[in-house]
Amino acid sequence: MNGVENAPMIQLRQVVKRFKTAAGEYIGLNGVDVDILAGQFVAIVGKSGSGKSTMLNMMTGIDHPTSGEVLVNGVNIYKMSESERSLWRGHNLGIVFQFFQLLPMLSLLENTMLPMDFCNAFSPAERPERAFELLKMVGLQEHANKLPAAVSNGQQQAAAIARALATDPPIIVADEPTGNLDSRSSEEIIELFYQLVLQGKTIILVTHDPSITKRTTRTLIISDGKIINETVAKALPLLTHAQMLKVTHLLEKKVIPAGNTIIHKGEHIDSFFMISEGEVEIVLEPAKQEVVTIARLGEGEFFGEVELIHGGNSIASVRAAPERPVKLVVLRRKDFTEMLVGSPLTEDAISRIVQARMAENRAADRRRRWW
Amino acid sequence: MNSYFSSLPVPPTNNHRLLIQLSQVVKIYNTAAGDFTALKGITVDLHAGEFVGVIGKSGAGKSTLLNMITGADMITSGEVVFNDPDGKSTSIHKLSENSLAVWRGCNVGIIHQSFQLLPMLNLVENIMLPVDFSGHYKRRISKERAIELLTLMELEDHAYKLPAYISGGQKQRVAIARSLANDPPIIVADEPTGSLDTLTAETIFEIFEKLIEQGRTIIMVTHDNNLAPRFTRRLLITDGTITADSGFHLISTQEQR
Repeated sequence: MNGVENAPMIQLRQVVKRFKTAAGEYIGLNGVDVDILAGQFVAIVGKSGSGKSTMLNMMTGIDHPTSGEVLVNGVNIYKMSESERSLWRGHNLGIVFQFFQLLPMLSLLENTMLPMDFCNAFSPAERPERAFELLKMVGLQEHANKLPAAVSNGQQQAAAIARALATDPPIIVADEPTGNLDSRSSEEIIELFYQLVLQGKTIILVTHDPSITKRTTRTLIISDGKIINETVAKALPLLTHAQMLKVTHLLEKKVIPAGNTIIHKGEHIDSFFMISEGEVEIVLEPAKQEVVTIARLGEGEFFGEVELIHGGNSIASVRAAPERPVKLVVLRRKDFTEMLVGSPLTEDAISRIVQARMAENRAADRRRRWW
Repeated sequence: MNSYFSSLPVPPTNNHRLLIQLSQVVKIYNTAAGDFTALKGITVDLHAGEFVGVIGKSGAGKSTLLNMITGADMITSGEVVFNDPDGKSTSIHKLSENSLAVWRGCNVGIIHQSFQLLPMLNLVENIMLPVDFSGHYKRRISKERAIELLTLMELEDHAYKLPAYISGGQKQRVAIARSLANDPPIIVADEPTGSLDTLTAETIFEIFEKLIEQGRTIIMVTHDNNLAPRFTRRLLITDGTITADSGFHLISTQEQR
């Protein structure tokens, strides 16, 4: 791992945001911790009112956290004055909005030049040329001199992306960038974002659009002002957000060194294990010195469910793969059972996996006998 | 709604001279699916001081009509003539791109449904943004002028806030302040109350009525039928043509009753 390249581009530390409204206090974010690495393409999803946009506003410095810290590119952005932050933002963040926010009286070229003028980035002579190059990149070279009203919504959003790139910021954030577009324009905009990620930009977007989350490298689900554990979201996608959040609160985290055994065959099992990072091997040890690996499980997969559902002791051993340590999140039997009761869909899905795995095990057992 | 379109013409006075004349305005969009005719030969005269409501269903051609009046989009055929107070007439679609930008910058303020404020800039900065790059008139208004405009909109206490900290209605007032930066005689507004609740929409509408009292001309696209009686002129657009015109009056239908 290269320490510099993998330093988090954005860090939220225990970020709390409370809003005071006429109806009383409202908690927008309730202690959010998250690291976003350089080059990641991150989607923030969640129901309306869950805190998605608030979280984005914390990263851009457009809104202030009530408590907690936000570090962007190593800088604590809330220790700056408003005007310092404004300049910092101009150089570090490109922002794209659902309703484009292009100035109606200015051409697309002039709109794209605005951030450079505002931050005094690039020499005044270079700016029109750079703006034109950016518009060309997003496919708008023929429309550079048109007003926003004269082009389609998709083209307006493409221009807004060109504008967001004007000062060449390392980070692009977007709030519902396809929320006001038809599906074809959405595809084009998502492709643009994807190309920018390939160029090394870090992109974070708030979205409802499943065609975006298919392309992102990471999805953060927000529920009730908190981030759902990403492993839970991956392993148990059929839970509701509220159920995922409940499970998130009940988890215990474990790190197992590479090659170490997690469960011995025949051991009594009282937990459900989900893999956050690394891989585990499911092994049978039919005889001394003999090891048969029957499966390898990776990120977002789980084990322990067979024993929890069928009762009985472990039917195989489980160990961390030899290459690197494994990070696990663990749910106790009582909480696992309660979760299944609350989510028949999850119970169905897990039962099917249990049947498949037991069949695999029997097959492996038979092979062993014939050996 | 048809009762609002009954014609009671009032002869124009000097203060209500002929301002914008549209004749046989046609707009055809070339799309992948073939040509689409958005406006099918619109002819209408608008006078200084009118509060014009452009009413019609989604896709009827309302916004296209506004774009023809502001010169934001190219006309396919026909003419839009603007008469200035000195009696000079300009066919705006015959202007070069630069001259059109100058004409627009001096004469038209534009307001959108979704405000189009830059969230990373405070209210004063949003209003002070360069109004035009053509270099023919002042690129940037002074901070004093920006604050004066915010005061006019009763937003002076929020001058240094970012848009995220104010309500939708307040954002739209900032957008109105910005549209007034160059003191244009014409305000063009596309669904300016479309994303606001009824009460907030009312305050925005009252601001427009005040601007009309000051002698400005406003052309506003709306879906909201409740607002219809308060315009001095209503144009009903259906499928790219004007299907009803309440005619030129000095007062609104509401006041006529």
